Amino acid sequence: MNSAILAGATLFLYMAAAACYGAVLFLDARAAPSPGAGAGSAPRAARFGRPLLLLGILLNIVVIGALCIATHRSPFASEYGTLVVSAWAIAVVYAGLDFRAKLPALGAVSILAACLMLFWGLVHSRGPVAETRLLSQRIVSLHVLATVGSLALFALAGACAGLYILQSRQLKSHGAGNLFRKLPPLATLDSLAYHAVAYGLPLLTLGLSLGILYVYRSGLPSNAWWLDPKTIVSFVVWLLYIVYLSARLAAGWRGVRLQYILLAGLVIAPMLYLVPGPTHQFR
Amino acid sequence: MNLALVGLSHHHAPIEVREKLSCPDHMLGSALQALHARQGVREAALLFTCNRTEIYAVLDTVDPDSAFAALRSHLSAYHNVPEPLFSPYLYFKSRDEAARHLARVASGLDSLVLGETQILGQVRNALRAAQQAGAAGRDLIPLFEHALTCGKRVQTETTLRQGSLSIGTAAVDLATRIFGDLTDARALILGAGKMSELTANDLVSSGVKFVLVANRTYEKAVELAERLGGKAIQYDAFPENLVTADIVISSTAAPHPIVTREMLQPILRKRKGKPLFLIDIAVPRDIEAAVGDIDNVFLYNIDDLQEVAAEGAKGRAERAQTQAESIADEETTRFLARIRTRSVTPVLARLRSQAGKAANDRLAVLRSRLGPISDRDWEIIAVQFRSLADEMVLAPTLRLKREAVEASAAAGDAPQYELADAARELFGLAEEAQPLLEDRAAQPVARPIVEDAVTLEPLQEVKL
Repeated sequence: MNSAILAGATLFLYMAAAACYGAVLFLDARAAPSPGAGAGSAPRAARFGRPLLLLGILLNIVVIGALCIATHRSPFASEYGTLVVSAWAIAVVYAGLDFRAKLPALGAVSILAACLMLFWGLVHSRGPVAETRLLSQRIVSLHVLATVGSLALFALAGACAGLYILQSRQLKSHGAGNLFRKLPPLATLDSLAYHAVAYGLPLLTLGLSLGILYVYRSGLPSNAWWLDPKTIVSFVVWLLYIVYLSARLAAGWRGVRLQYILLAGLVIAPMLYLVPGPTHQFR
Repeated sequence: MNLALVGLSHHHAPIEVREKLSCPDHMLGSALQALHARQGVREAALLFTCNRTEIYAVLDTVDPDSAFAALRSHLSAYHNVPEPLFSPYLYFKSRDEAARHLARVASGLDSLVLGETQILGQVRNALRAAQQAGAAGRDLIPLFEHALTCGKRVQTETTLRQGSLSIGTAAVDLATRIFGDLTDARALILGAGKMSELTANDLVSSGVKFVLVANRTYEKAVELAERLGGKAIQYDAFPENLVTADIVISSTAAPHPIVTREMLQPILRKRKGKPLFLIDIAVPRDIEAAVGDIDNVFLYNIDDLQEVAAEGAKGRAERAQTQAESIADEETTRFLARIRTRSVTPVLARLRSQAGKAANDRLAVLRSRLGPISDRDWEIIAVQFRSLADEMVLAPTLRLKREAVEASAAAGDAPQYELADAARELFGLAEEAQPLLEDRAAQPVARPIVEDAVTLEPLQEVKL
């Protein structure tokens, strides 16, 4: 079966899962799980979210497999494949979290990000597939996989930061409209964002290091790689999260301002997919 | 009874206005005396809570406009607040409406947090203070007693209180939304009053382990800290402890804010953006409103907390509310009937006494004229005689009471008891009954302080 059709079905499942998690925000607040509440208190709509998400993740794997079989290349040989893997990574990161803590509002935002990735991939599903064997090398696959994994974690951190700012505003405005009861506690969001960055930054560092290693090992002209906008954006993102971690760990910063750094990351990181990359061509 | 009520509450008056007309507990006695000393005020009681300021007074005047004007001007003069500042928020109720209002207030039906139970204790305290100041008498004591009975019935016969969330619960709810697990949260309590303790208790039972208490009187801080399992600090040391605190509960009797934006700025720099949850349950407020605009500071005053609590309880108690309203109506009707029949009570008492005396006299004559008779037979005869006497006065009694209630309601409590006069004439009670009425009116009300007047069980769960 055409992988794009399967990707469409995956997108549908992700959207349904996001809708189920998001429905909590529009249902009666008293149905929303309280912090630390067990599965028994989860609203019915949110309970459908997890099976739909897991089904979507499985189908996403099938999509990646079908793509590899069809192209006889790594999924990172095309922009479509890279975006499909990115969507899968975001979904997996949230699914892992969902088994540890029930945070449906975060699920709605995170899975929405996965939906956007997949939709964007579907738009490029007829794009070129790189013929060069360079991309089939293990070091390149690991380089992309580590980078995509880190971006999935940064997406989760960005979603936490967005919800933190929203929750903070709700609490400051004394909004008795109950939205604050449906959003996770500030401390939970802050801690999750921190852990996502704490795991994401080493992954990004690994991805960048593997990229540098590949360039120097292959004897390619390194100047072209260093001046590639994708490389530059990667280092900007890396520096941004270094600043975040330094501010939090070394300077002991907390609160809303720190979340704005993560939001900036959420805006800059997708540039990696958008900016032209002369040395990162799928040709 | 020319009962008048003037007040303002959370329904319309913002906290900025309410705090100007508040009165600390230690000033309540002098406030009552000042009101009672005013010309035309026979009896007075004051109900001050975080949510309301209410004057209940029995006045000489029957004109509602004059009563309203007199009490409004007293509020203005006593609190030194210009009338235009608070007049738009004032409500005035008289007679039946005032009695019904107090019943609803004591039942928690007029509270922002529907069904909250602390109000019952506050009504009881208002009565106690009025009795101690000698300001409450034959009209206000039964009025407050009826309200307390009503409140107690609502508490025990309905599930209204189960649908309510206390201020403490609302504070815990908000703290959980900020800090998640409260186990590691550090609480600082400013003021060792009852409100602080109740709110702090809720936090402690939700897992807060580290509690500091600061109070102007250090000994009270120590006592509260012991009860909460925390530590007392000197009052002057509280600003430096704001650096490490996560939750601050402030409920001091300070007339001006003790935590200002200017004072907090350097402290917040040291906190490096760590969220700070400030709970200001004092009226007047302890924390400057502008503090709430600072990033990472979440300031909630009593109104904000009550809104959160009310929102949490919404929809849970509709049926209980209907039931509670009917109890309040029933109790008010019973009280009004009692008050209105009060003026014919001496006539009825005399009538019953006269009938009883006549029966006993006839029994004595009969005993002397009858031959030997068994005790059992004599008992039967005596019971029949007394029953006959009771039956004779039953119809006039019921008729007189009904007339008293109906005539009083129609005439707005102006006594027009024609039947009572007729009864005096017909049964020859006039000469003896009248002094009874006067005597009772003239005598000071020597009644026990409220705890004995209405037996109230200690509140199991006193909520703010």
